[in-house]
Amino acid sequence: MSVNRQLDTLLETLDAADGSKIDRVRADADLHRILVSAPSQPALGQADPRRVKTRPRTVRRLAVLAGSVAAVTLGMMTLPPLSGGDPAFATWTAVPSGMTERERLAAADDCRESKKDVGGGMYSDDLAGAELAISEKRGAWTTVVLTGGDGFSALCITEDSSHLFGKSRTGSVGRALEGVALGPRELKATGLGVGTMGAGDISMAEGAAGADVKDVVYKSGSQGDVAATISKGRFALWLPGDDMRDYPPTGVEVTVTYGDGTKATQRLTL
Amino acid sequence: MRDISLALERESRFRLLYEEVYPDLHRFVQRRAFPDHADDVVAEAFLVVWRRFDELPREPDNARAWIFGIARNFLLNAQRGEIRRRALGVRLAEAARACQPNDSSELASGRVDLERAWRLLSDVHQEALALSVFEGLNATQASVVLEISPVAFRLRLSRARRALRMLLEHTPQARSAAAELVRSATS
Repeated sequence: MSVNRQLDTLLETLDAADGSKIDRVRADADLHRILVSAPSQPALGQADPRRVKTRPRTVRRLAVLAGSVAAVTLGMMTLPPLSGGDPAFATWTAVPSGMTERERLAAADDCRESKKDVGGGMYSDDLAGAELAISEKRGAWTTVVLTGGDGFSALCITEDSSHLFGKSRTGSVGRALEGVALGPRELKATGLGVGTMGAGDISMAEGAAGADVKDVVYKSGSQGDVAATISKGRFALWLPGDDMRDYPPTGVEVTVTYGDGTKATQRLTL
Repeated sequence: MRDISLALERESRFRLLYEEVYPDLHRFVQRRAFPDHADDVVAEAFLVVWRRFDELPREPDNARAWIFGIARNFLLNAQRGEIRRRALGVRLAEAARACQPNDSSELASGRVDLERAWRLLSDVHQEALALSVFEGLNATQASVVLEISPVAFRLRLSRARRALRMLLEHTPQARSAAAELVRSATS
C-alpha cells in the first residue's frame, strides 16, 4: 500500500461527518418547503410558461402559498429562506407604518432583485419597469408591492435583521389582474391565504382596490383588527399565523371604508 | 396536459435526486460548516438546485458533484463580514474522539499527528484532499465542485498530498507511525 493510500485510510478514520446527525423529519419538511417555494418551471423553450396557469388546483397550490391559497396568475411563488425559526414576528404590528424615501427605493430594488430570476427571468422586463405601489413596515418587516402594465404585480414581504444565510422573505409575482376591470368600490384579491417562511406561517391578503376604497380592515381571531395599506389602487395586509388557512369558499371577510366615510363588508376571494 | 405532466415529472425527478443525494450532501456540509447549520445549508442548497434544475448534469456522479459545488458556493458566500475566501477549510473529527477501544497506541498517536498536520494545511489543500478522500470524487467530479479543470485539480491534489507529508515529516511533535511512515518513504 502506498504512503498516500495509507494516509488516506488514516484520514478516513478522522471524518467529521456523522450520518446519524441526519434528521429525516427535517429533511422531509425541507423537501416539502422547497417544492412549495418554487414552482416546477420547465425551461423556457421546453414549454410555453404562460400555460402554467392551466395547471390543476392541486399543482397550483404548491406553486403559490401553502394552505388554502390558489394561484390566479402565472408563476406566483413564495421564496422562503429555510434558516430556522425567527423571533422577528414579535415586532410585527397590526397597523402598518410608512417608510422613508430611501427605505422605499431600497426595498423596491430588493424586491426587483429577488424576483428577477423567477421563471427563468420571464418577468425581468416587467420588474425593471414596475413602479412602487405599496411600501409599508410592520415592525422589522417590510412589504413592497410593485405594479406594471398588463396586470403585472410583484409582492415582497421581507425581514433581514437576523438571518444567517439571507433575508427572510415571501411573496409573489405574476399577472393576476390582466384584463380585470375594477369598480370604484371593489376589491380584487390577487394573493390570499397562508404562506410559510422560516419564521413561520403568515396569513396575507393583497390585490387591487377601487378608487373609492380608503381603508380595509381584517378582523383576525388571533391578532385583532389588522389594517391594510392602500396606495395607488392596491391594498395589502398580512399577519403572523394561519388565520386564513382553509378559509371558506365564500371568501375572507374584510371591512371596507369608502371615501364618504361609509363602511361595508366585503369578501375577498381569488 | 403537457404542462401538467412536465411539472409532475420534474417534481418526481427532483424527489428522487433529493433522496439520493441528501445524505452525501449533508455529510459534505458537516465537514465544512458548523454542525448545527448543516440542515439549513443543505436546504438552501437544494432550493437552488430546484430553481436551477434544468442545469443539472445528466450523469449521476457529475450531478452529485454539481450539487456539492452549489453548497460550497453557498458556504463561501455566507462568510459575512469576512473577505470572501476562495476555498473552504475542512474539519476533521477530534483524534481523541475517533479512537476505538481496540485501536493500537500507534494508530491513536497517528491520528493525533495527522490532525495536527491537517490544521496546518491551507484551505485549498484541505479542500482538495477532502474531495478525494471523504467525498470519493475523481478529478473530473472534483473539478466540477471547485469550478476548475481536471488537470488543475490533479495538480492541486498532488501538491496537497506533498504538503501533508511534509507537515507530518517536519512537525516536531510528530513521532507516530504515520510520521515514521512518511519519513521512511521520503528518506
